[in-house]
Order: sequence, then structure tokens, then C-alpha cells
Amino acid sequence: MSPRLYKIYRKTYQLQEKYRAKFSRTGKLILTLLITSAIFGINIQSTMIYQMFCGLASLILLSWLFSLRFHITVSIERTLPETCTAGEKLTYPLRITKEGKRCEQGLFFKEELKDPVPSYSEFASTPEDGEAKRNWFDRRAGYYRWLWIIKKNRGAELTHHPLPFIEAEGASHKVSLTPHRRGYIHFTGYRIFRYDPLGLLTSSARFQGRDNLLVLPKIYPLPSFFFHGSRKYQQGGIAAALKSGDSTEFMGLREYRHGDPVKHIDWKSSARSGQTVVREYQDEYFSRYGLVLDTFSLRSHSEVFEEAVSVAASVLTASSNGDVVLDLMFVGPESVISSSGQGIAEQHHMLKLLASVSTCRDKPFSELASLLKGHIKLLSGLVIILIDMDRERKELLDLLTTLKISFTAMMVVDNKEEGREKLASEKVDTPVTLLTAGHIEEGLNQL
Amino acid sequence: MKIPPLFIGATILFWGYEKNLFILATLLSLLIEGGRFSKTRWQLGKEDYIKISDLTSALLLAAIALIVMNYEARYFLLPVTEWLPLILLPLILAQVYGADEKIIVGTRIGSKKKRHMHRPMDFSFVYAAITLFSAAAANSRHELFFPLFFTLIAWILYANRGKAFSPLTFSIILIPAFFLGFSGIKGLEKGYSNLNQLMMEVWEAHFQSMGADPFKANTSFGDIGRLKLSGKVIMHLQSSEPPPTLLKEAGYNVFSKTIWVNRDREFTAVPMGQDTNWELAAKLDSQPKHLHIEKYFPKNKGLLPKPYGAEEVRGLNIIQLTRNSEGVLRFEEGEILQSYDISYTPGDSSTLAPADYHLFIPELEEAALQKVIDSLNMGVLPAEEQLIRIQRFFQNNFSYGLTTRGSGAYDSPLSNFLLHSKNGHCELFATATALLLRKAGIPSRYVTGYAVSEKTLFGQGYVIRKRHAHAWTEGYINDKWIVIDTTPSNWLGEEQSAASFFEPIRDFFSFIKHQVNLFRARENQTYNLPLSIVVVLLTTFLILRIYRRLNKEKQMEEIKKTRKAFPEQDSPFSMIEEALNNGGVKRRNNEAFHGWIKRINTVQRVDSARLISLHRLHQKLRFDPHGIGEEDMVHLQEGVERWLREHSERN
Repeated sequence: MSPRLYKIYRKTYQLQEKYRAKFSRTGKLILTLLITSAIFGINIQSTMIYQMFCGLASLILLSWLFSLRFHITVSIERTLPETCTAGEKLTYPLRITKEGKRCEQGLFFKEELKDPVPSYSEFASTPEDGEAKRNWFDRRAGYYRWLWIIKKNRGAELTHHPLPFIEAEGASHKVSLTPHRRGYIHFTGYRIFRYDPLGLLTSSARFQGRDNLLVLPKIYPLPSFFFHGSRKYQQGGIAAALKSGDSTEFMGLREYRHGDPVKHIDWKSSARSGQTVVREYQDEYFSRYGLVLDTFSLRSHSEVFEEAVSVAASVLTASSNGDVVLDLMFVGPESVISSSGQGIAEQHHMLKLLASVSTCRDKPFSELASLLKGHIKLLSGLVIILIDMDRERKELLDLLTTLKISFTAMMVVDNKEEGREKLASEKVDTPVTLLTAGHIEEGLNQL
Repeated sequence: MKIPPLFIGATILFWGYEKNLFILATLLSLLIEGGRFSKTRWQLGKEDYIKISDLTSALLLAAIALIVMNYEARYFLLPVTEWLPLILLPLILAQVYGADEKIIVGTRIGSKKKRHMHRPMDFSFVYAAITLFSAAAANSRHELFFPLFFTLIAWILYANRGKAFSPLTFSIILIPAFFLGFSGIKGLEKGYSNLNQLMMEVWEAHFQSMGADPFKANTSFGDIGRLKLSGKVIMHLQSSEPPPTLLKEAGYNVFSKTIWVNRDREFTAVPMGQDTNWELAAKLDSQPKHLHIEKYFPKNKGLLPKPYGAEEVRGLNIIQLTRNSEGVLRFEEGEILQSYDISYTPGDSSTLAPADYHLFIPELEEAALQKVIDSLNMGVLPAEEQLIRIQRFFQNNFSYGLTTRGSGAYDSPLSNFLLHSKNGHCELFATATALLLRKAGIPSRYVTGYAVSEKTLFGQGYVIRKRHAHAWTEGYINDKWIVIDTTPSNWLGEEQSAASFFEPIRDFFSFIKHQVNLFRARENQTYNLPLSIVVVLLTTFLILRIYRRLNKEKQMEEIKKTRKAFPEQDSPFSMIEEALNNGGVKRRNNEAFHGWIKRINTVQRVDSARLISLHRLHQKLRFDPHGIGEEDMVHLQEGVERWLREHSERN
């Protein structure tokens, strides 16, 4: 990608943003008419377009003069939730405080997010999804890539909201935004603006107001996810599954056997009987499943990976009944195993983990395989979400088959045909459900 | 953006007022604004909108074709703009009478054919803006244009004004805006007039007008480099006999550095005969030759090329024909394409006595000319002998070339040509010959015109290209003007070699275009009727297509209604479904039967093939409009019973 093109795109984007912020829709129309009349009205003898030009230019000029002065006497405080979900509309309240005596009306509010313009290195190294299918010129020019990165970095589409009439005691108002990707959205401030009397240009004031919002992955409806596999004895019970420690459910007393923890010795009974007696606790049987997310991709961002994360989040939320403990396993900067079970808090924590997960480009797939191998004995079943198929991934699937553990394998792909070809070329004989990016629900319904 | 009620109607009326089509505009306005009062709404789909867009494009193309064929092709943009409100009418009607608030403007032609997503748009304000433009393009010069335009703009701005201010503030701002705009108009008009004046002066001082000028001819002497000669066909000739080799267009008598001018600026009218013919000279021969010429005059005026000995011109489509003392024919007003016949007697030439200026030699060229004359030892030889010596001088010492060399180390480009380079193009040969003749005491003039040499590839006759333009000399010897062409005869071949490889292709298209133009000129055809027929046919076709679709949808709805009336029939297959549901793997909401069977198979073995075949019969029972048929019904019942029996045995 040429640095010159990058500079042109950056400059154009900045100008475009200024233009968008300064002109109303009517203003844009009048400006377009003005420019067109300037071009076609040059010969003032052959048409009367020059008269249009003069009229429109005088209107824009007066609008601009009016837009120069803008004094605002309100301040706004927003209350954002900690998290929200990608693709779902988020509504949050604003508290508007009036600082001057004047009643304000006809004002608009717009959030300002962190500048989405990528650095040159990000622009040069982040290919757009499906860029290979674009023609030679589009690939060279990279304009579609630019638009894609801007959209991705922005994270949410913002619109301006008209504020209510602000009287002496201030007002409260609700605004909304729809995030379109997971991860953090950084708010840098907000803008309050109004249109000039002719409604062509805006006068605005910018206010600082930093805040962050974590967007959880998009969740697909996955009714009654069906896990195969049986309940297994979990040493230490559910508490151990969640963190560490023993179950406190007392069952009875028995003689000491070699290896019993000293803290389980019931001293009173031992003194009474003359033998060492230990307290026996009820250990629990429950289903414990693994949810394995494949993060190994050469690209920092891809639609397939995003969809895989969404599928993982969907499985996580679908399995959140009291009987199941789910261990989420993936490899990021380090290998992660996180358990969720009885409690919304743990599930929320895992969704937050999924909101921040990124692709792993510096480690081999074997890291995930060894993480899983060390944990597999505890698991009754396994859901494995892959984003590619190669020898190592196939070996892992073969191993799971050999261990006779019940598992469901899914592979998120760009194109179903390509996915089938990959499975065929690696000679994968384990059933793998192909989920096409953009049509995930269709695939999940096949499960 | 809000469009206030009746705004589009008002813009249409404004357009009608400016274009002087008030009745049509009123009708259009009523048609468009009538949508507000009509309760009928068309259920137009995406494809219908695309068809309407394509129809509008066809209308636009037809309008362009109409204007190009009836007016000057270069200026089609303005007339098309003037008629845009009418051309875009289908789109705005689709929006006004359609059920959707927004319409799709797009095409399925070309790369947009395959599943291209078109975004719906509100066409009404685009239409209003275009209508305002069209009104301005009509160039009515009405005093009321600006006040009316400003009122319309104020109207739409009021509907979309900033709500932070009162309507009073809005109105107060409009007053200075109006006067500012008005002052701007007056300022622009004044500025334009001043600029125009200035440009005219600069133009006159530095540039020479294009094309043949009866008073002035620029030569390429002063240039340096290779002349670029165009192969564009500018004239067509037809003649039953071999045509004349030269066609004279203009003659000049005074030379100064690089420009030939005509001192005698007077043109006199040639009287027109009874039969739209113009007699140029008394007829000598009882059987003169005839030549048919077709030539374009893009400025509707120009100099008429003619052969030597021209006696009469016929078929010109002009107001008046004039001529001057150098034998140049000119017309001031006429059609772009002139197709005329000239009768001529070869060899005949003018006997009009020369004036003093036919012997004028510029001081700058004196020395070089004297040197040449001295070298020719002409002394007191008779004029014919002197002419032969001059012709031989050029024949023996000079060559033809398209490279221009400028003055070089000499006083003028001509001196450089005569004394040093001895290589040049026809302008140099003609000028040098004319001036040498004058130096020898023979009156002469510089003549420009065309050489006839190339037969046309398409049809019959000859073509004359731009590069066939030629210059030669006329000398007054033995009381008559004779043609003297000293340019080496290979000049045509030299210029031919510079022709483009694609010339025949260009010639072909030029020929087609020329034939169309000739047909139009002959038939005086305006094409309004055939194009109107095309437009009406296209519109009817579109309306029929949309009507057919709407009708089909209506029929489908009728069918649906009729189907709903069928009594519901219990299917034996529901027992199988119940049995499977009781088996443990429950069917999900909206789960396809095949998917469910597949899922059941992962837990327990069921005979999928049989179940699917029974399910197909069950579907037939439910959905086939012709019904299941007795045989199939029996098959279904028996199949279900057998399966249920086996299923209960298994469990």
C-alpha cells in the first residue's frame, strides 16, 4: 500500500468528517447546487444559472456568519453500562444540567468516539475480509480496505439526537447507539450543536467526557444446546471446578486411610474411639464440558474469527443452566482456562474474556492441544470451534475420537465449498459442522 | 429533509413560466401534486423501480438523440437540461403514486446486472433541484426569475430551518440574503461584460481566428517543428468526368512576415437567378463540366471552394452569396452542410486587371529575393520566360518537406527557405513564387484551396481531407491570371505517408455520418415522429410489464384465498411424528423434518429412507393442489401403520 494513498485517504476522511459535522442535509443540498451552478453558470449569457449561484451563495454566506457565534450553557453527564452486546441497540440516559439562565432549545447531542483513522502500519498490514476477490485496481488502491478498517475501528454507528427543551432545572434524556463489533468502544467526549436559523450549517461545542464501553460478542439464539456425554465424578465438587477447595456437604465418619488430609481428621471422635477417624464429605457428580476456541490465525482480524467468538459466546449462554459447568479454553497471549457454572457472574466474566480475545499469531496450535490434553480427563463432553483445518487440528480431532470423548466440532468458514475441500484434503473423518460466516444461525440449526 | 406540500408543483410551474410552457407545466404540476389527494397507491417492487429507471434512461437517450439530430451536436446539454422535468417524470410519478416513501433509482444493465444492491432514495428533492436548474437553463431573461427562485428556496428552507431560532429571525435573515444575492447578480453581469471586453481585445491582439478568412491567412513559416496534418474528411466531390486538380477557396494580395492579407475588403453580392442559381461568369462552352461538392461549414458561414473557370453554382442553401476582386466566394448565413453543383469550363481564368498591391514586396524579403533574381539572370526576358525560369529554379533546387525551420540565421523564415534550407511546404513555395514574380515585375497573388487527388473508399467520387489543403500562386501574364504551382509534385505522397493507420476506420464512420446528414438535409427530416413512437412504445411496454406483474400477484392472492378454503385433512403421518417426539429427541420449533431425523439418528437408529418417503406422501397430502390420489393415500396409511407396528416392537 502506498503511503501517499494513505495520506490522501486520511486527509479526505478528515475533510469529509468536517463537512459532515458542519453541514445539515439541507446545507449539503444547497452546497451541491451551489457548486453545480458555479460550473454550469459560467456563461451568464446562455443561462440564468448564475442567478441561482448568487442567491445560494448569499444564503450560505449568511448562514456561515450566523454559525460563527455559539455559546452554550449546559453540561451533560452520561451513564453508560459496563457492557453491552454487539448488534443490539443500547439505550442509556443523559443528565443535562443547565449552567446559565437562558432556556435552551433546538440543540442536538452527538457522541464522539476515538479517532478511527488507522496508523499506516495498521492500514498496510490489515487486509480486508475477502480482499483477494476484489479486482486488481481495488486491491492496489486499498480504498475498500480503508473503509472497512474505519468501520471496524469506529465500532458503532453514531447518530445525532435532538435534545429536549432545557428549562431551569435541566432535563434528562435517553440516547442510543448500536455497536457492530465486540471489544472496547472508547468515548472521547461529545458534541452539542445547533443549526443556524436557515438550517444550513451547524455551530457546535465540543466537551471532554472519556469513558469506555465493553461490547460483548454477538450472541446467536441457540435453543437447548444438546451435549452428549455422561456426568462424571468431580474430585472436590463444584467448588473445585469453579476455583479451589472442598465441598462442605458432610456425609459421615470413617477410619483414616493413608493419604487423607490431616484437616479432615475429626479429633473428638478419634479421642473417643481411640482410632484415627476422618470426616467424609459428599463429593459431587455433575456434567463438566469444555468449550475450545481456536484462535490461531495469521491475520489480526477476520470475519471468520469474529464469528467463531460469537459462536463460542452463544454456546456459553445457551448452556447456562445449573447442572452444567463449562470450561472455556483458548490461547491468547497466554493459555486460558476459565470455568463457569452456577452463577451469572462467572458467565459474564467469561463473556468479557471473549469480548477481548484476539487471534494468536505467535504460537503454534499445539499449545491449545496440550492445554486440552491436560484437562480432558475432567470433561464429560467438548465443543470445539475451529477456524481452519490442518494436520495439527486433524490430529486433535483424531485424539478426541480415540479417547472416546463425546464432542461436537464446528468449523467457521468463509465459504462452505472451501470448507468442504479443506476437510477432504486433510481427510478428516470426524463429523465437523461447517458454519458459514454471515449465515451462522443456519449452520447452528443443523446441530 | 422535508419537502413541504405543493413545493414540487410550484417548482414545475416556475419551470413552465421560465420555459413558456405554462399549460404543460400546470398539467404536470396537477399530476404530481394530485398524488397527495389520490388514495390509490401502486404496489411497485424493486424490479419495477429498476424498469422505470431504465425507461427514464431510454427517454433521456431519446431526448439527446432528438436534440443531437435536430440541433448542433455540441450544444445538446443545455436543451436536454431544459427538458429534464419532463424526462424524469416517470420516476417522480413512481414516488408520488407508489406505496413506498423512497424509490430505487438504478439499472440492471451492464455490471450492475447481478444481484446489485440498490439503496432506496427520496427522489422528490432531487427532482425539485433539477427542475430549478432546468428553469434556469431555459434562459428566459425574466426580471422575476431571481425573486421567484429565491421565494422557492426560502420556502424549502423554512420547512427545514433550525429550531433554535424563531421564524422571525429566519425571515429577518432572508432580507439581507435576498439583497446580497441581487447585488451579486448585478456585480457578475457587470464583471462579465468587462471581462468579455477585455478578452475580445486580448483575442484580437494575440490570436487569429480559425478557418479560412477572406482578409487574412496565417502561414506556418514562423513555427519550428513538424507539421501535424489531419486526415479528417472535410469535403466530398462527385464528378462524371475527371475532377479539377485544384479547388480555389481564398486569395490574398499583401504579404507581411508570415501573414498574407487581402487589401481589398469589399465583397459584392452575386445576384441569385430564378432557379436558386448564382451565375459567376458568362458561359463560354455550350457543354461545361459539372462538379458536385458537399462541404461542412460549422459556423454556418464561410468561403465556398470552387474550381477554376466556375460559371454557375446551384443548390446552395444560403441567404446570400458574395464575391471579391480576388475571385473568392463567400456566404454569411446558411446551413451547416452545403451540397451544391458547380458548372465550369477548365482553363478559363479571371481577366480582372491587377492593382498596385499585387506587386507589393515587403522590405524584409527584398534582399533575399534580389539575390535569387540575380542568380536567375532574367534581365529583360518576356514574362513567360521569366515564369519558366522561376519554376525551374524551384524544380531543380528545392524539395518538399513538412519540417518547419523558422528564420534560423536569416532575416525571415522565407529568406531561410530561399537561401539556405530549400526545403519546405506549399505555403513557402507559394509565397516565394508570388514574391519572386513580383520582383520580376509580374503581378501575383497567394491562393489557398484544396488539391483533389483521393478517391473515396466508400461510394463514388473523391474525398478531400484537411491535409489536402494547399497553397499556390496566381500570376497575371498576358492579361489574365494563370495558376502557378511550384510545390514539388510529390507533396501529396509525402503527406499521405503521414496518414494514420486507422484512417479507413475513421473514414467509414465519417461516411456513415455524412450519409445520415445528407439524408436529413435532403428530406428535411426532424425525427420527432419516429422517436415519439419509440418513446410511446417503450412506455406502453413498461406499463404492460408492471400491470402484468400486478395482475399476476392479484391472481396469486386469489389462488391463496381459494386454497385456504380447502377443508383440512388429518394425515396419518402425524402419528409417526408423535411417536418420534415421545422417543426422547423432541422436534424443535421450525425444525425441518429431515434435520430432525438426522438428529434422531445420532441417538437411536431409525429407518430414515422409509420415513422420508412417507413424509413426502404426507407433504403431497397437505400441499399438492391436485390432491394425493387414492393409491398414494392407501400407500401412506399402510406405510404408517407398518412403521408404527415395527417401532412399538423395537421398543
